[in-house]
Amino acid sequence: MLELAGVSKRFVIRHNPSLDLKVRVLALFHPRHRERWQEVWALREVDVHLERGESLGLIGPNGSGKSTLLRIMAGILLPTRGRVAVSGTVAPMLELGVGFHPELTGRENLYLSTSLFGFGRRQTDALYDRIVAFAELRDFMDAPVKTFSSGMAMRLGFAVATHLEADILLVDEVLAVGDRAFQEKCLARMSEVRARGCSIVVVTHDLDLVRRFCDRACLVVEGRIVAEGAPDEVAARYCGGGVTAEPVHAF
Amino acid sequence: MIRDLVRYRPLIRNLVLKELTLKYRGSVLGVAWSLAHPALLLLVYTLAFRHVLRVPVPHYPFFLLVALLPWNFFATAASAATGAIVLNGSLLRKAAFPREALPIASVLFVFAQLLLALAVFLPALALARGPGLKWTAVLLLPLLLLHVLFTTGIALLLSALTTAWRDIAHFTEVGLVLVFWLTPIVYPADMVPGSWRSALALSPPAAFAAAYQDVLFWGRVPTWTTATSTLLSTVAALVLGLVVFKTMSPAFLERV
Repeated sequence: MLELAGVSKRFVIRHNPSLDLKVRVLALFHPRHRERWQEVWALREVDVHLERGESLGLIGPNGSGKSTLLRIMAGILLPTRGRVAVSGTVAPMLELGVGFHPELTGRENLYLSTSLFGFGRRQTDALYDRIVAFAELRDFMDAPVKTFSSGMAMRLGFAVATHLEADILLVDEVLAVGDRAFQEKCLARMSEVRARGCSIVVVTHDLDLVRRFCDRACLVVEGRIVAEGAPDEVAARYCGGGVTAEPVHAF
Repeated sequence: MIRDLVRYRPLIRNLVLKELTLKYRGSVLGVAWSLAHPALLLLVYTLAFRHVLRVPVPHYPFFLLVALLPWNFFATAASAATGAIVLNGSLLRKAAFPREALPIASVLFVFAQLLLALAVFLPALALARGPGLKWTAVLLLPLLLLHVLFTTGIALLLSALTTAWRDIAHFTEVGLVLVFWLTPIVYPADMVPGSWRSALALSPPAAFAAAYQDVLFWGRVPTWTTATSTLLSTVAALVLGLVVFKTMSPAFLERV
């Protein structure tokens, strides 16, 4: 179960590329060099409640705060205000494959990834075959990840995250990569872990995915949840305008 | 925090293994570099300080060795620590593991190389015609433990501070060179003018160097001053490092 109450997140954006001594001295004489910064509230008073085995879709324009929200759920970012209560373990799938080290082999990266979530070697040994089979990478695990295609790295990342047997799975726009067959396999896998009681939060621009997979959806605009409810209705609200948004699909 | 770190022991081990693998994979001499590096330093310092500057210490290469290896561990670990957080943004973004694991792993990675070097050079010290090893060599074990804890404290401190002030990395590079030459490693402490020697008593690196020279080279138990100085500086470094790290770690992701 996951509960966010009144969660706000403030970022400070600095507009000076450099604040070295030279710039600081110049600032004494010329206002152009003064430190310029701006507060951005990426999230404002957000409440989210997620039940066991429930799947929630977060949709909204770019820069609306969806990914920040996911990072706060993952415990990677701390909220500026508000309260986050999580019961159980969280497996975030953010920027799949990004944390892989290109020089290490698939196997070494797999063990490193699971240990980021506190898994020991023996625990990972027990999962190893299933993860590799799911990722369809059996013949490549001893090759350095730099030789992997981005799709292969993504498959490995997805396979690791969905086999951690976490209570909450957080998915950030990862199904966009990967071919159609693998996307279907990922969806099937996510339904499977959900059926076992895992709660899932998906951030995506793919409204079709939200309609098909999620029990509930939230529309996030400028750091606020402006609509919440059945995926169909929330997606329709998003498409129907009232939201200043960039195009949903780039092509 | 300690319980977290115990749970995440596999992570620390994997991070250390990762660094070791990356360091040696693809190089022809591999692990031998970890021995060649101190051996070459030893050679050139011996030329400079025994044959040119004529430092009056018998068995000079051995005298140099016993404090130089631990110093290299400390210096390499401290300078690696400045990048332990800022260069690992991609790992920080992946999961909410205890952030302490990164600087701790970077210290242990360098420590593994010190142990390797000691495993080769200590038998040489015992067997070669030189000062030999006395029973005081067993004191090396508590001394290494204190030194690795002291270095961990400094590493936590530097890794956290670098996220806010990137200058710390440059400052550390320069600072380590200055401290090296001000510490009685290549020369014995009794060559230092009397009025400066009291200042040396306040320097943790000087206390550690003296302790290593005592137990491995002179074959005597370190003085009370040396022993308390290493102990107190270890406690101080750990407390300071942990407090600063804990205070700053919530903002790491916004600064890397």
